[in-house]
Amino acid sequence: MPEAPANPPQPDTGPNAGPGTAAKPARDDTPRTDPHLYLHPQTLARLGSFELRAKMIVEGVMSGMHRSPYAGVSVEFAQHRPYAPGDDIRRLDWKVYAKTDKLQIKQYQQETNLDLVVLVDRSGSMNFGTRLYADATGSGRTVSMDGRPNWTKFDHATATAAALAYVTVEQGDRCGMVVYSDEIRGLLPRSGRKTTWRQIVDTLSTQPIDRETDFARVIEQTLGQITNRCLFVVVSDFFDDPERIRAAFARVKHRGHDLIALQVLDRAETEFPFDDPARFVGLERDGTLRLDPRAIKEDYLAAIHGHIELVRKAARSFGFDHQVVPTHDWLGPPIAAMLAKRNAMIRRAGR
Amino acid sequence: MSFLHPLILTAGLLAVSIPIIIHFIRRRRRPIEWAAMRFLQDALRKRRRRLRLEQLLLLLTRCLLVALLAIAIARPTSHGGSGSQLGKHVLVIDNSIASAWRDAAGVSELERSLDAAREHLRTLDPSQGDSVGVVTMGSPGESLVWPPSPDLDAARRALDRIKSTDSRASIAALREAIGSLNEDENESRLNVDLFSSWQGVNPVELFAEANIAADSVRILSEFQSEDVRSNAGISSMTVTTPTVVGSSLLAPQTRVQGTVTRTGELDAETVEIELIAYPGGAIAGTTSARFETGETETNWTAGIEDSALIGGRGGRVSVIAKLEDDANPNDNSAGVVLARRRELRVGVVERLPIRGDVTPGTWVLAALSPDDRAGIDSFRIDPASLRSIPAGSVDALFVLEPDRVPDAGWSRITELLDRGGLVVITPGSSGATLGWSERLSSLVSSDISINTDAGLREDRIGLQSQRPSGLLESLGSEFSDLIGTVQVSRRLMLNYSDNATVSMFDETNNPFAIETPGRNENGTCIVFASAFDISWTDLPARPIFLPIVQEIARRGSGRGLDTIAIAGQPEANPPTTLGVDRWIYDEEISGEESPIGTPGSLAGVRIGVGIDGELVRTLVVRPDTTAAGTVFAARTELEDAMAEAFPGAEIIDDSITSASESESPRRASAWGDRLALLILTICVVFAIFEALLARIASHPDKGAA
Repeated sequence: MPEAPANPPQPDTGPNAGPGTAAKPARDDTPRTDPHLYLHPQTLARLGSFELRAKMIVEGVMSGMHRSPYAGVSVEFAQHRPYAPGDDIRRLDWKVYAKTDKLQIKQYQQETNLDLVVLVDRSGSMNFGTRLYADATGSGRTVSMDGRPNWTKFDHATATAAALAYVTVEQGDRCGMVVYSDEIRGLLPRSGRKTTWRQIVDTLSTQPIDRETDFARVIEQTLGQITNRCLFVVVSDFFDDPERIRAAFARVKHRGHDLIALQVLDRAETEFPFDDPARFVGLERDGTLRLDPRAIKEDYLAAIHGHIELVRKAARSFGFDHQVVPTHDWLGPPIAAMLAKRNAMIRRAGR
Repeated sequence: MSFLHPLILTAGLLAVSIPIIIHFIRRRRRPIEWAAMRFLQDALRKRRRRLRLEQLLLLLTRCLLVALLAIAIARPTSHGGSGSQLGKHVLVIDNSIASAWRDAAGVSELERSLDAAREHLRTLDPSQGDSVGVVTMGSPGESLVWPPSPDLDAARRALDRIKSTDSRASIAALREAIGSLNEDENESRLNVDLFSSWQGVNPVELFAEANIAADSVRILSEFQSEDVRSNAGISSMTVTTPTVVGSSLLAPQTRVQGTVTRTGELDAETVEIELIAYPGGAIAGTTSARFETGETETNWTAGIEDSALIGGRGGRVSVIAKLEDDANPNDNSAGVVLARRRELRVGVVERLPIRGDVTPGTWVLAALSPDDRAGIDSFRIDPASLRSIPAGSVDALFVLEPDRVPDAGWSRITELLDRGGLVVITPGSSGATLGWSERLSSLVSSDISINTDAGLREDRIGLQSQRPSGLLESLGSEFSDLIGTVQVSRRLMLNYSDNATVSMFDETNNPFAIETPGRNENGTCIVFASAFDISWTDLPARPIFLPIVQEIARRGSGRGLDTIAIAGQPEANPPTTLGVDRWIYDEEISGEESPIGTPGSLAGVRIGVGIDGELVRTLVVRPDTTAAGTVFAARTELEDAMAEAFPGAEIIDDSITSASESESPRRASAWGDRLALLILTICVVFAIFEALLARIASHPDKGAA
């Protein structure tokens, strides 16, 4: 688990946080805490019916409902194995030695806590959204705290992350949070305290910056600070090089972690409902395009759906889950469907 | 190629920028912030070249479509040039006699045309290549500004100078002006802009065989065809005695007679005519002419007060008849010129008779000068010495022995006729005809000859008592009463042609006296069939002989010295021949506004003087009343005639008309029509192409399918 930062996530004030494109002025990243913005009542109602802890077997320090794949110090004996030089002699089963004159090491099957690390993409592309804010939140607000009338992918991602974190903390598991773009932009160490929820909300209360996503780098940075196995939930649009995404997944798999890829997309991105010629301005300093949407619609849709499929295949190839999360849908259904599927997989593995 | 509506073309070509502007405006819409740029770029990368090509083609197609539509609507014409109305403009102003017609407000047709021309001038722009020439139509017409000049002020000044003439409309000056343009000048578009009310104009005559090369002909003046306009004018005027001599009782009162014609309302009316004599400007007489209902023409006659006739230069007096003022003042006057002489000089060409003999010359001399107050100085001239008589020293010659006149003498006789003198020829008493009969054909204009085959008729016959013609016409009843007693016992048979006037016939209906102009239509020659000898006829001994000789001498002398011409006709601008060194205007005699500057197109009196400055002859130019009509030319007839006159040119009727504008036909050449149709067809093809291209560009897959 990464080390706890000295301070909660700070707004980006460096050069990377400046106005990356002329069309997108820098936003005030001062956290505006309003948990209800992220925790839609309907969403929480759906999520509350699932037992997140039962979805995975992870190594944890907290005895509980999760079966650890690691043989370590715990209360439930698992098996013996021959001693090998270098083993902790405290773990020798002296009783077996006395009976058989063989040095055996005791191994236990621990029941641990679930360590959930949620990675939320804060890159410029997440600042896109065509859904009305009022329609998305259901809280009666028509604009965001910073005055936007639209519900962006980042809004949807943070709401998803907050919901997952809330359920996790409420179950007594530990949850950490990483907000990233081309690098880690905000970090909250894993914690199972009830006050963690407040810190998570603060961490999520930021805005996208006009930077590209560098998922592989962020994974590398994150893994460098985690020693035990975790469940990574990546909430992103995955607008990155598919090969680098695949490499990042490989690194996660190599370290023995599990991962759920939640690909947040706006309906406009998957349907491209534009007719009139227009100027498209990139949100990640990727220039401007003047074009007739109708002329390239077919090619565009083929490209983006091809990309989604590549991400899905990359995730599946490592046994990870992948779920497209449309911003126009409620948070619950895709996550619930994914967790149900995950639960079934774990049960199969347990048998 | 040029265009009928260059302004539309200009606007249309400017409209080509609309698709371009729209193209850029659409691109400048509020931008869309977009996250998935990498996929857009991927998609665009695949189609970039094709999309650019399609967009370019689409833009070009739309621009071309607009441009072609503009060209089609602007109506291309078949002539080269700048492709617009720019070029040479010839403002043709109708200042013919009909243009002087004034409406109730006193505004003349010419003023309307000039206003329209000034208005048209405002539409021209020298900085854009426009140049203007000004040509008038009052025959023979003038080129006031030519060749076309970019100096519009010069054109305006020329318009200010234009006055209505007394002649008919003519395009001779226009034809000559355009013909004078050299090839280089002809390279630019030539627009003929006509300003006329087309009143009193016969288009067929006006444009007959004109064949003028122009690119467009534009009718720009008022064109009224429904008005009933009235006007009266003096259409003819003659004087009975061109030379007024003395105050003898033998001299009849000088009278003038003429005709008044009218158009428009044909109610019964009486028009007053006033005679004014110049020099002096005294009223020489008044009369009136009565029109009955429906009549368009009536005659008038008036005596001239002898006291009003004061001889001016060369003894000339002009008498001007004036009608009351009416709609067209230009045809309200006509003039004649009289010669006011103290006495006539008449020579009798005959050998001096043997003392006591009564010869024809004796009778003639006695008849010419019965007393000292006759005002006729008569004398005998020997035929052999006729050649020594100075030119101009006699007004008339009675050649009573033509067979004895030598060749040189005949030359002198011919000269007298050329100068407007009177020559009376009778056979010699001997009856010899050989020699002089052959002279007649070269002496006079008509074909008069002596029938030598018939020989000398010696049967006793009388003369017809019917009213005589020609110079003797004024004798009237006096002649009828007295001629019956005259007997002719010897006579020659005279042959004559149609243009000769038989003054007197014998009982056998053969001519006894034939009157004809001289060889140059000047002077008067009278040939008698019998010698004034008692052995031929007893006419000299009869009372009628004296009035016959007096009438012939007084009325025949000086006739032809004063030429009558119609304004605008070639005779109104005669060459400086016949002893005339130059033609001048003598206000003392004419009493009218100077016609100098528009020779031949204004009515008036002009004087031809010799090298020594002496008056040789006068020229009376009268208004061309036949062209002062108030009937408008039919529009279709006018345009048809113009289409013939300007082959290949666009005939554009932009008239301000009282008739329905929709009836205004707009003629365009078939070439232009076909081209416009072709362009419109191309436009349709382009429109379909544009639609397909737009479809393909927007829906590449469907479009391709």
